Amino acid sequence: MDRSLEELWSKRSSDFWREAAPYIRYMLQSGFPAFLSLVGIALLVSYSSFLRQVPEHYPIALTGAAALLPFVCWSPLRSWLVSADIVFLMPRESGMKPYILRSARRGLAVTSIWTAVAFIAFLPLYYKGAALVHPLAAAAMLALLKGMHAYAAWIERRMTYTAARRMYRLLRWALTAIVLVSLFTFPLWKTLLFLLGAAAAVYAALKLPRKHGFPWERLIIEEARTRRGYYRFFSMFIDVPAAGTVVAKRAYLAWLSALVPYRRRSTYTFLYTQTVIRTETGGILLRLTGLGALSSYFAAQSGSLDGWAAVVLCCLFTAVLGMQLGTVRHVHRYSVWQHVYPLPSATRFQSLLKVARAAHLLCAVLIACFTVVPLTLQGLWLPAAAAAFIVILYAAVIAPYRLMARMAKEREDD
Amino acid sequence: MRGDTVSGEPILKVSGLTGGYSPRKPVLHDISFGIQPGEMVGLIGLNGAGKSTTIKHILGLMQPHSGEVRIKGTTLDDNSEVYRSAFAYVPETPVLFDELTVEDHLRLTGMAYDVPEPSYSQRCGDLLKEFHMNPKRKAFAGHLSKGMKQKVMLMNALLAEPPLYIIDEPFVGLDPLGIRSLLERLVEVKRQGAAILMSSHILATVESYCDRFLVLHGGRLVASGTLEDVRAAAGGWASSLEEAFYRLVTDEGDTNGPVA
Repeated sequence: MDRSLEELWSKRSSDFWREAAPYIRYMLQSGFPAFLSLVGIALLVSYSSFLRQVPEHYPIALTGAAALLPFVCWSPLRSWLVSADIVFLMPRESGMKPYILRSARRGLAVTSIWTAVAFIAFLPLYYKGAALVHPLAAAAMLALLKGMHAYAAWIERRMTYTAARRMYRLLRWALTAIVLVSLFTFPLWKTLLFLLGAAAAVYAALKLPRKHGFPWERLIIEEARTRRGYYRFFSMFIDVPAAGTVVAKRAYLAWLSALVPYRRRSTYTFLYTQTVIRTETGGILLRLTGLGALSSYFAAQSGSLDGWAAVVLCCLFTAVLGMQLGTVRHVHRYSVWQHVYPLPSATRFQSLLKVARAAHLLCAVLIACFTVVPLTLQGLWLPAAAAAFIVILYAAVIAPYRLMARMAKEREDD
Repeated sequence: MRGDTVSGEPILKVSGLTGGYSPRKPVLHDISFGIQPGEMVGLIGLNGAGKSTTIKHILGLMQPHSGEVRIKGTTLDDNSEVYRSAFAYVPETPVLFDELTVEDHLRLTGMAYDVPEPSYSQRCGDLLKEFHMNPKRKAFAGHLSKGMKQKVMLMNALLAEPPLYIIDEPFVGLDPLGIRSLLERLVEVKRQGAAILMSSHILATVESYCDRFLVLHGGRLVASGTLEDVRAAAGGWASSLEEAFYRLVTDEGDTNGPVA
């Protein structure tokens, strides 16, 4: 690679990690690792007690495919590119291939490790079934798939039109889901045959759409999004430099903001409702609720630790929801409009608390339903009641109180 | 200055304003002027003359080292709600919420300025039509071009129908139709009795539309008043505002202290 480009890659990579290092330190000191370990232990206990009594017709192949699919398909690319590169780096486009290959290799390496971890975690369940394919052969297949995905994801990034990019990504995920189910169900040669056929068809199809030679804008957008992701994560523990937001319409949640009446004292309630629904916070809350509901449901179904594992999971996810919603207080904190609007600044804080509490309760109660119902059906009344009580107490009282205290402290600091 | 001599309470009154980012290094020096209802006043000056700093002091985003700003007869400290509900502000660079659509912004402004719901719907419809923004009503602010963002800012200010408009460089990024809509609307709100303080570098437009002018240079008010007053301050030879302005800001002798 052009030496100066190689140096640029290394410099940008190390700059990013140097910049992130203090935030990582804060995160490590925050008790988050202990929290993660708790979730890990609760999941491990539930998983092992589930392994001891796997139901006879349990869909092992489907579970394995569902668990591995995101790891296999996920093909991130840290290009370190920024907007200014359109002016300053674009003239050197012809020399960018080795630069971006280095990014691709790094992305492939990192995601392959995660895929390996997920596969190893799946192995004990895999052996409960027919296990037609040797695990080493299955691992080789996964490695092959990872390579194919890295290539296809790059071609998708080069596509001119968003619709085409999304369609090909959907196709890639759908075909991989079939390959994975087949891998854990049929003899290897059948899966291999299907994979080769599908790959050849996709390879031919990838040639069709219009493409950029080097997708500058796409890479810049993705890089900015990744950075925002990191900083959003760090913002749960400490103030971080503000980065722009990514906005999604989430029209299916529009009815929530329609509930806010048109009146002066609801101005900030309207603003914060839209903020929670449409920014990344909304996306994270939805994913957390889904993941929380699913994992506590499985834990409750397995009845591990007499139902208490599910209670722990349900409460932990409620706590994480609270941490996420806490970050909303940084949004609009320095907006000029809070000084210009003819509204007392106290209404902003009250509205924020109201919106955060409502969102927290809504998501936490949903997770609790997936815990309480299966526990009650098994007659585990005490853990069911405990889960419901803790979740409501935390989301309605404790989390808002803590958020209020934090905001009061920050107001003093400001 | 006419604003100070015309009978009746000025809607905006700036008296002896000295201010800036650091008390040891003031940017503005002893600025005084007033704006009456039904008046459009142009705030002009070179880059760095102190126009934006003056506006920030009026908005209450900065605190004066000495002097005071009164809107509707009250200071920000005396009654912040009366003070703030009396004006709408259009910043030089559009500042919008990324997660809100064009329509959401209008709704938010309507709520903040307590515009009754039926009037809100009426005004909202009119503004969207007038600024040719109907096709973009559901678009997120982040997906708009710079000119469209500026239009959204202006529409929000006009929706509130306040007694005072503070507009910083309104023409930057606007297309010819947008500039025309804006000027027509400003003339209309002025006729209805609103006061407008507008900072701009487009001197020809400022000259045709404004009743009075404030010429800032080096943080001092080097001339103020009608076109005749400004021309007189520039030595009386200038034929247009642009020429008078050029003389005022390039003639070193005139920059040491306020002329008017």
